[in-house]
Formats: sequence, C-alpha cells, structure tokens
Amino acid sequence: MTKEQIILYSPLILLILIFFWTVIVYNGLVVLKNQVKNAWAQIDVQLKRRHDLIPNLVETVKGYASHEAQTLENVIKARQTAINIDNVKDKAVAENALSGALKSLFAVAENYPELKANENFLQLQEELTSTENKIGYARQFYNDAVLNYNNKKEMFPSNIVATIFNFEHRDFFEADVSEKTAPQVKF
Amino acid sequence: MWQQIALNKRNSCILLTIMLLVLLSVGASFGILTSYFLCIDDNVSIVQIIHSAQNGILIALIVWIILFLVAVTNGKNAILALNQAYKLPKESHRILENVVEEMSIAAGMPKPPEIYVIDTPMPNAFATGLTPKNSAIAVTTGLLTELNRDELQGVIAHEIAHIVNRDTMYMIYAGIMIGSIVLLSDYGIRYFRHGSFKSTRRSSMSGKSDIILLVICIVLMILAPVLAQILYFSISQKREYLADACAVQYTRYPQGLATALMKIYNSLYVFRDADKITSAMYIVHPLDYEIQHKNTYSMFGNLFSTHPPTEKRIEILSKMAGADFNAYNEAFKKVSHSRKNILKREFLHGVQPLEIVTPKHKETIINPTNAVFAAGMMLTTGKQIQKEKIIDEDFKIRKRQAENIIWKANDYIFKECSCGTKFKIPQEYKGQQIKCPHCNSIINVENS
Repeated sequence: MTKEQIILYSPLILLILIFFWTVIVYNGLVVLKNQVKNAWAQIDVQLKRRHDLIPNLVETVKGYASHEAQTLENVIKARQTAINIDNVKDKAVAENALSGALKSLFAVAENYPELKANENFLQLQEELTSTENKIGYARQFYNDAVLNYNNKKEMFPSNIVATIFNFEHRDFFEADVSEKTAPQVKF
Repeated sequence: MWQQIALNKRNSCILLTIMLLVLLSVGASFGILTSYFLCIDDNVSIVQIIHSAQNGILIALIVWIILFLVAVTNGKNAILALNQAYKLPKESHRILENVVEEMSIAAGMPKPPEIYVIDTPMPNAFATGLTPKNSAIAVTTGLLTELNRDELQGVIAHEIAHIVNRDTMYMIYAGIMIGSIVLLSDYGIRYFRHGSFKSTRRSSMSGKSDIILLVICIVLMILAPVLAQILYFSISQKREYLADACAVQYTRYPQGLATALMKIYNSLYVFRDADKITSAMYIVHPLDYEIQHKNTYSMFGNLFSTHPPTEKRIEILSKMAGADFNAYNEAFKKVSHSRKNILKREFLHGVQPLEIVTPKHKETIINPTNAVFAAGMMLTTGKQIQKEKIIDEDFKIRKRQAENIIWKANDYIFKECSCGTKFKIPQEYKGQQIKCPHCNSIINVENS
C-alpha cells in the first residue's frame, strides 16, 4: 500500500468505525430505555389494579361504617384525581395522597370489629396491602432502571449519541417522604 | 443486579466447561477400557487406542446430549414430579400468590414463576427452571403453616434470587454433567470387573505402558464422579449466601428471612420423603437435618455440604445494619471473624446504601439473635415448649389454608352447610346428597 492510498482510505475507515460505534451505543440506549418503559408499565398495572379495587372496598366499608363518610369521601376523591393524571411527577404525588387516604381508612376500620371479621373485607385488605407492596417494589425497580438509563445518557461519550437521536430524560418515581424515613431497627 | 447475573453466568460456564472436560476424559477412558476387554488381539497399537478413545468420547457426547434434551424439554417438570409437588390451584392461597408476585416484581422478572405445593408438615421450599421465564417455586404446606407473611416473603425472595441469579439453571446443567459422568464411569468399572475375568488368559499383557494406561483409565473412572461433585459444591455455598443477600435487597427486611430460617431449622419434622438427588435445591437442606442439629461438622461434611450452616446464615441476617450487599458483607465478616469478603468485589462496588424497612403490618417477631439461643434450649428440652410456642390462632388459620390447597389440588368440592360446617367432598359424590352430621340437614352436591 502506498502512502497516498493510506491517506485516501484512512478517513473512510475512521468513518466506518464511528458508524459501528454509534450503532452499538444507540442499541445500548434503546435497551435501557425499554427497560425503563417496561418497569413503568409494571407500576402502571399495579396502580390501575389499586384503582379497580377501591370501589369494592368503599362499598364493603359503607355497609358497616356508614358514618365515616368523610374518610370514604377522601378515598374516592384521591382515587379520582390519581386516575386523571398522566405525567410521572404529578402522578407520584397523587398516588401518595391516595396511599395516605387508604391508610386512614384502614385505621378507621380498626374500630369496627364486625367489619374486621368480614371475610370480604379481609380479602380486600390483603389484596390492597399486596398491591401497595407491589407498587413499592415496582418503584424500586423502575428507579434502578431510570438511574441506569440516565447515567448512560448523560455520560461521555454516549451522551453525544443520546443528544443526536434525542433520547428523553426520565424522572424518578419518588416515594413519599414519610415512607422513606422508616424506623431504624436496633438489636 | 445485571452485573451479578452476568458474573454468575460466566462462572457457571467455566465450571461447566471443566465438567465437560472431565466427562470427555471419562468417555475416552471408557472407550479404551472397553476396547481392551473386547478385542482378542494382544497387540494394541497406538492408532487403535486413539480410535477407541474417540469412540468413547462419542459415546459420552451422545449420553450427554440425550440427557441434555430430556432436561431442557422436561427437566423442571421431572424435578417437581420427583418431589411430589402439586400445582397451586388458582385463587386457593391468595397470600402465597401475592407474595410470589411481589417478589418477582422486586427482582424485575418478566413474569412470576409457577407455584407448586408439596404436602408435608416439614417447612421448606425450592426453586427450579432454566430461565426466569420458565421457572417454578415449590413450597411445602408446613412452610405455609408455620411462617407468617413477612417470613414467607423472605423465603420466596431467596428462591426468586436463585432463579434470577441463574443458580437453578446451573443446577440443572451441572446435574446433567454429573449424571452422565456417573453413568459412564459406572458402566466402565463394571466392564472392567467383568472383563478382567475373561482376560485372565491375557495375563501376559502386551507391555508396561499398556498397564499404566489401564491403571490411569480406571483411576480416572473412579475419581471422576467425586471430582465432578466437588466442582459442583465449590460454588453452591457461596450461591446460598448470595441468594440470602439478594433476598434482603428485595424485601429490605432481613429479620423476615432470619426468623423464617430459624423456624425451618427448628422444625420438629424431618422431611424423610425428600428426594436425595434434588435435596440440595431446598432453602435448608432437608436431609442434612440431623447433621446440622448434632453440630458435627467434620472436614468431610463441610466439603460435601451444599448449604452453609443455618445458624451462621441466621446470625449474619440478624446482624445486618442495612439492606444492601455491603451490609450483608460486613455482617458476614463480623460473624465469621475474618476479613474475607463473601460477596465478590464487583458486587460491592458502587452499591447504594439501602435502609431496612420494617413492614407496616408488623407482627410480633422474636429477636432473632436471642431466638437462636432459645432454639438451642428448645432442642435440649424436647418437643413440648416448641409445640406451645407455635400453636396460636394464626397458626390454626394458616394450617387450614394450607390444607385447603391440597384438597383443591385433588379436586375436592367445597361446600358449606347452613349451620356453618364446611365440607370437602370427593368427586365421586357429585350429583348425590349428603347429610350434615351436626344439624342433620341434607346437602346437594351439584354436578358442576
């Protein structure tokens, strides 16, 4: 190979290398983005499930504790607001409010022994507690995925590809402050 | 998390490759041995030896491929069948179904594993499956009876961790390897015993080198199964610790798993029906029970033990100050008084600290560290204290729920009389009438 040929071909080889590198980074970003998407879908499924369970719960409680109208009203309202919100940040706030309203409903239920013994109520309680747990675990997983994705998107040199192809920034699904400061366990 | 899965896969690959090499050398010696006793010609040339070794390797590969195909298509079901596990009927135990779903979400599994139930009072559990998509968890009715929700969650998290970390996959692949090695060496040694009688007339063997070759082949045949098992056990203890650490990471609640392990460990029942081949898969080794309780850990016992001592696992869990890998590693160092890490450095690097989260619906839980001593006391004083401790209201309810699964799995019809008596009726009584023994009223068993 003569000198001239090397000079002629080297930009071409460089271009091909850059192209392959871009493809690899792009695909990596897409994988991470899909992970975030799937994780969010999981949260969404659980939130919807909770929304579906609440009317049943309200009906059951009504039969035993009709003069707790205010608490019931709060739950229904919180559910209504949560259903109508689409973006991640506001949704987190609305869903946390709903969690709070449900918590006070279950606290109220403690005062009604008959309600507490009702099989239907017990079942709903198990389902709602479990759904609440699932939301928590899905959030853990979603936030891990978002962290992975955002890191890759912002770090050099993959951020070049991310900017060119316009990869969006994703928000964390924040837990409620009171939920975060769990009591320290001592031995 | 992704990192640790990748590392586990790589380690498994290396070990399986070594096992494959062992298998191939067993195959080669099998070929040489059989050719020796089959051929009448006294002078065996090098070419012939190589040729018979090749044949042996071919046989080894064929055995391996057959076992491999069986395991890939049917391995999970075979293991479940060996342990007499029933598939959990839908809606028959909502708590168990929910806990499994919760943990599979926490571990980011594509879909929750199938749930199976084994009808035995000994509390225990295991997981199996080649991929997270096609996996199963089996729990015993005793587990459902003795553990509360938080403890059950700890155990399920441990099993899910085995699936996600691909330990169950490794288990199946390694099982195939060991199986084919044992099969071949068994036949080889049998040939040798049989053949040596016939070949007495060939006592004037064709030379020293031949005898040396024969001896090497025989020693290899005898040692290979042991070697394969040592290879297999070399990582299974570490994987148990890792699964414990992952379980805490998923649940954020080490006490749950700690008390669960304690209850399993102290359980009065011995799981005598447990299948010997698959017993290493359980969360606490079911057949190790007596060894563990007598505390006789000889050197030999440790080398062939798939599980670390349960007391140690409990102690580590109860000394954890957080819910992340670093906290587990620190607790391990504290308990074993050593500076050696139990988790790989790659796992510990850049771990975000996680706090322990006590469940909101907290039930009264004994302090695990004290409980270990209490458990020791109970073992020496006999059965009665233990019985008194565990029989409470919740225990009875859980026992009934667990039993109902088995009734449902066996297609019994559930009926309630107007006086409140609950019946479980066999299928044969379909379309007939039965009489309630309490209130004498007649109950129709519908055909549906």
